[in-house]
Parts: sequence; C-alpha cells; structure tokens
Amino acid sequence: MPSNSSEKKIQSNVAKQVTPLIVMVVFVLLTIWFILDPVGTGVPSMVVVEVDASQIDSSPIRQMLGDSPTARIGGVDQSCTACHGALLGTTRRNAPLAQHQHVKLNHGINDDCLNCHDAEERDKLALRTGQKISFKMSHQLCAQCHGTTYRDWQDGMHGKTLGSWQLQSRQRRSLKCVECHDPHAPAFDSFEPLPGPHTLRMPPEHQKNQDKIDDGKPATASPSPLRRWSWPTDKEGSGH
Amino acid sequence: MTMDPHNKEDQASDQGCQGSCGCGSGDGKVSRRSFLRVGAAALGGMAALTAALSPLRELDPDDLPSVEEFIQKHYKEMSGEQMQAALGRIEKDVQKRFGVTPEVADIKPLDGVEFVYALNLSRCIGCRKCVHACVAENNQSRSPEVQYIRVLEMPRGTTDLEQGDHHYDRPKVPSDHHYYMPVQCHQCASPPCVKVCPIEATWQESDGITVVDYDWCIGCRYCEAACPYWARRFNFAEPQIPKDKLNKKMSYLSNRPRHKGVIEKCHYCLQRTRQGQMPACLEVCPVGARKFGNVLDADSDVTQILKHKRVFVLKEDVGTLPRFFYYFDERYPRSQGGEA
Ligand code: HEC
Ligand code: HEC
Ligand code: HEC
Ligand code: HEC
Repeated sequence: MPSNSSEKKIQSNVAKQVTPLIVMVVFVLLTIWFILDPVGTGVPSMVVVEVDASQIDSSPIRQMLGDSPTARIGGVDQSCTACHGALLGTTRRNAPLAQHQHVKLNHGINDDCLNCHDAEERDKLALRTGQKISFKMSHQLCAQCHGTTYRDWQDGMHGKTLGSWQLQSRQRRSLKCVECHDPHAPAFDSFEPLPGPHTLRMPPEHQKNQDKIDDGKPATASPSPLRRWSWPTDKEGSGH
Repeated sequence: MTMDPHNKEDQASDQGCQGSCGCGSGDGKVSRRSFLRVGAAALGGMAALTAALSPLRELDPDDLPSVEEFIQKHYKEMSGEQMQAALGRIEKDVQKRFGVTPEVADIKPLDGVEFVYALNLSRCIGCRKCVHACVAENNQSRSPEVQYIRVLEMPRGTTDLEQGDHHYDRPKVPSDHHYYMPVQCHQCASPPCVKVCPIEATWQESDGITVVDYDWCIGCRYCEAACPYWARRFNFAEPQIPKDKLNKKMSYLSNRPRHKGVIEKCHYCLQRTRQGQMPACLEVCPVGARKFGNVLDADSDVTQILKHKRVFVLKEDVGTLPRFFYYFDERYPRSQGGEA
C-alpha cells in the first residue's frame, strides 16, 4: 500500500529531525549534572579529633618507690622509719590500721601486710626466708608466689621491655612488676579506649565532605550513630 | 490515505537526503535547519565535555611531580649521590608542605637481623593506644584518616575474623565477653602484595620488612587487594597532618610524608627498629602485650615466645608465612574465671 510506505517515510523523517533535539537535551542535562555534581567526586573525609600527646605517652603506669621509700601522709612524703621503729615497735596482723587507709589489700588470699613488708625495718621488704630486700628488688618478692609469671618476665614474655630489642643495648629496660601492678591490688583497672577508626565505614551523613582537622582538645570516644555492637547476647556469653 | 499537508514543507527541505545520515543533504548542501539542529546538539556535547573535565580546574600544579622526582631512579638503582639528592628534594618538599625542616635519612637493614613480632592476646585490652602512637610516629594522614593498626573486638571462643568489630565504642575496655586482636602488616616471608606489584615499587628487605618506595608507586592498589590481612592503606586525597604533630625524624622507605595516590603500610617502624629501638606501638602498650625482636638471636624475647608459647598466625592456610605471631597465656586473669 503506497499510503503505508509514505507513512513510514514521514515517520523516519520526523525521527531524523527529532534525534538531534533529543541528543541536545540529553547533553544539556548532562552538563547540568556535571556542573551541579550532585553525587560528588570528592573523597569523603571528616573531622578527625587529634589524640593528645599525653594519651599516647609511653611512660609506665605506676611510679615505683625505689630505695628510700616514702609514704604520703597528711600530704607530706615521709620515710617509713620516721614513724616505724622508734614510735611504733609492735605490729598487729590483719587488724584495722590507724594509718595507711588508702592501702586496700585486694590480692587474693595474700592478705597480710607482713607477707611482704618487713616487721622491724619498714623501709625493707621481707622474703619468706626472713631475708630483707630493698624496695627496688620487689620483683623477688613476687617471684616467691608467681613463679611461672616471674620466669616469663625474666625471658621477656611477661611485662614490657622498653628502649631496645638488642639484648646487649644499654637502653634496654624491663619494667618492674610494681611499675604495672599495684602490689596491694594487682589486677588491672579498665581503660578508656581512644577513638576508633573512621576510614573503614562511610562517615555519618552530617560529617560528609568536611575537610578539617580539629586539634587541641583531647579526644574522647563519643557514641557514634553508626555503632554496630550491642550488649553480648547469651550465645556470646556462654562461649567460654 | 493522503499525505499530511503539514509535512510537505519538511519533506521538501529534506529532499535529496535519502541516505542513512541524519545530517544535511546528500548533495553536499547543508540546509540551515539541519545545520542548526546538529550544531545545537554538537554545542551541547561540547558543553557536557567541558563540564565533565571541570574538576581539572582544581588541579594544583604543586600536585604534579617535580622534574627531579620524575627522573628519579628506582630505589635499588640509585647511587649514594643520587640518594642524597633525593633526600634533599624530600626535605625541601616537606619544608614547602609543612614549614618544618625534617631530618630525612635512608636507613638500611642490619646484618644478621630478621624482625619478628609477637602479640599476647591474653593481655591486650583494646585501648587503641598503639593505633594512635603509630599514627603520630609514622606521619600518617589525619584527614582522610590513615591507620596501620586495626584493633578487632572478638567474641571469646573464636578466631574468626569475620566476627570481629573495629568500631567498638565502649566507655571502658576490656569487655568481659570479648578479647582484642590488633592486626597490622604481618611482614610475610612470602608476601602476595610484593608478587602482584607490576613495577616493583614494594619489596621485602633482608631484615624481613616489606617496604614501599612512595616515589615509585603508581597507586594501582593491586597490593592492597592482594593482602589477606587488609594491611595496606591508600592515600585517596592529599594527606593532612598538623605541622606541629609532624615527626621530624624520617626515613626514605618509612615515615616521610606521603602524597596523594600512593600506598603505605606498617614497616615495623624501621626508622626506629633499624637503629635498635622498639616500635612505637610496643613502647606505648600499657599492658605489655606486644613483643618485638630479632628471631635470629636465640635469647631474644620473640625467640623465647616462639619456643615456649603456643603461637599461631592469621590465615595460615593462605601460605603467606607471616612474621607476626599471636599467642595466649595459659590462663585468663582471675576476673575471667581463671586461677592464679
Ligand atoms: C606518719 C607515720 C607513718 C609513716 C611515715 C609510715 N607509717 Fe606505716 N604505719 C603507721 C601507723 C600509725 C600504722 C598503724 C599501726 C597500727 O594500727 O597498729 C602503720 C602500719 C603499717 C603497716 C601495717 C603493719 C603494722 O605494722 O601494723 C605497714 C606494712 C606499714 N605501716 C608500712 C609502712 C611503710 C612501708 C612505710 C614507708 C613507705 C610507712 N609505713 C610509713 C604510721 C606510719
Ligand atoms: C604483695 C606484697 C605486699 C603486701 C601484702 C603489702 N604490701 Fe605494701 N608494698 C608492697 C610493695 C612491693 C611496695 C612498694 C611499691 C612500689 O615500689 O611502688 C609497698 C608499698 C607500701 C607502702 C608505701 C607506698 C604507699 O602506697 O603509700 C605502704 C604505706 C604500704 N605498702 C603499706 C602496706 C600495708 C598497710 C599493707 C597491709 C594492709 C601492705 N602494704 C601489704 C608490697 C606489699
Ligand atoms: C605471698 C604470696 C604472694 C606474693 C608475695 C605476691 N602475690 Fe600476687 N597473688 C597471690 C595470690 C595467692 C594470688 C591469687 C589471687 C586469686 O586468684 O585469688 C595473687 C594474684 C596476683 C595477680 C592476679 C590478680 C588478678 O586478679 O588477676 C597479680 C597480677 C599479682 N598477684 C601480682 C603480684 C605482684 C606484682 C607481686 C609482687 C609485688 C605479688 N603478686 C606478690 C600471692 C602473692
Ligand atoms: C607491662 C606491665 C606489666 C609488668 C611489668 C608485669 N605485669 Fe603482670 N600482668 C600485666 C597485665 C596487663 C596482666 C593482666 C592482668 C589483668 O588483666 O588484670 C598481668 C597479669 C599478671 C598476673 C596474673 C596471671 C596472669 O598471667 O594473668 C600475675 C601473677 C602477674 N601479672 C605477675 C607479675 C609479676 C610477678 C611481674 C614482675 C615479675 C609482672 N606481673 C610484671 C602487666 C604487667
């Protein structure tokens, strides 16, 4: 049918005229898209709270007393012999004390001051054999009851060695037991953790594309809206 | 059916264009209308192209490598003199970027030394001090954030890494129901990351440390994909470090500041350890969970641990032979139901 073929022709002509227009509209839309950049080609980064240098200090947790031990009494550091010896001769075991209330023994069945402290000379510690040792050698005291841990410590498997990995180095120093453990309550306290990573997940919506470093204030672990953990379920709890 | 009168004109103007082209006429003449139509489309195309290229406006000439950097040789092929020149260039670069004068050196491995790391999982409490001490020591980018060490909070009773959580966010650690597993580069003896590098920008040194030449790296990130421990980090944007936080003691293969588009990773603090010091993550650990030393020395801490403790490595079955070992002590502390 001739009318049919001419219709086709008309249609193809219309298509020919419209195609450039469609192409143009598409290009214009593309231009607008590229300029507005709605998805963003930037790297998402966020405000990173700088960790304060004091929070990553490598000095030991505790300061050990050393050879002339002092007790802080009434805000003053006094040597043990200032009171003990001349003034206080006799000793009572396991009785409530008139002094040193801050010493709260939490060391299992090791609940006697004189298991460790010497009865006569208070600026000395005493081994089971009666031998007096100086405060600096307190690890020998611990060794009596914690043989395996002490052996590990000697071999560098327990505790911490600072300074150098070279065994003959003079910088090398192993922390003493009492630089980590309080001899009276040796279990470790819990710690406040430093902030977790941000790189391993997308930042929360409101923090996108903020290229800023905020240093100054020490970091605190603030709860994030994307936190993934929840309190342990029964399944996790019974796993051990 | 008769022809639609409205189409007459159009048809006339398109006469002669029987070809398949939609452009102008077959006899070489372009009618004004079709020219305008096609021209408009072409103009639109140009605009779109320009807009698409517009991010180039933000290109900073400083981002481009300098001539010296461009012609610099591979690390292993540089002579002493050329290395000195490279170190000088890096010093100037750091000065320009941060306004501080660093001490850049090229610290070589020691003879008879093979470094090994051991980590006591019964001790680690997940405080993340190691993560941040590492960032400070090794001049990692603060924004976007780059960290070499990831600390996983793991439910007790499994070593399945899939169950670990990086983002634990507790007021206090440790949690009674979890243990903590820090993961960083394991300095494998058979490193897949080195094998996949197409240009030898990363290699294993004689002391076992796998290093990256940041000037040679092209940023293809093959190594990042090849690493089974997720230990490599890519600089997606120009690293930002506050200048007062910059560690001025730098080494070519380790903690000198990186540029955008290169890979970096833990190198056991080689600027410290090759001079006898301990890595920064070990020094800061408050519980003494981290142990480091020379495995070729029979008396070193790590040799003792390998001898006396039940050590294991992560993903042993992939055959990477890590130089990073984990171990547990025989007992959990009393608070976890063990005994003294
Ligand atoms: C201000 C004086 C004073 C100083 C200084 C002092 N103490 Fe005491 N200490 C006392 C008193 C008082 C008691 C309690 C005696 C009692 O309740 O019977 C006591 C009790 C003790 C006890 C319990 C055992 C006992 O004898 O009843 C120990 C152990 C002890 N002191 C150790 C030390 C050590 C170690 C130092 C030094 C680091 C020290 N003290 C310094 C006053 C002092
Ligand atoms: C496990 C052994 C042990 C036991 C038990 C023990 N102490 Fe101590 N005590 C030590 C050691 C070791 C030091 C030194 C700590 C240091 O160097 O930091 C010390 C230090 C002290 C000090 C001086 C530091 C301070 O905290 O003021 C006092 C006072 C003290 N002990 C009192 C007591 C009293 C009172 C008791 C009993 C209630 C007691 N100790 C039980 C081992 C022990
Ligand atoms: C007289 C023996 C004795 C001495 C000396 C001794 N301890 Fe203990 N210690 C014990 C006993 C008993 C326990 C067991 C507590 C429990 O599990 O109930 C213990 C437990 C501990 C614990 C584990 C605490 C916990 O809750 O996880 C630590 C840490 C510790 N001691 C450190 C030390 C240090 C450090 C010294 C040296 C200053 C020391 N001990 C000296 C007997 C001793
Ligand atoms: C770097 C710090 C550090 C030093 C130094 C150190 N310890 Fe520990 N010790 C720890 C930590 C952390 C624990 C885990 C305790 C906890 O979770 O409460 C621990 C646990 C213990 C335990 C409990 C048993 C166990 O294996 O969990 C004993 C006993 C102990 N230490 C004794 C010692 C003795 C003895 C010394 C000195 C020879 C010593 N420690 C030195 C950090 C230290």
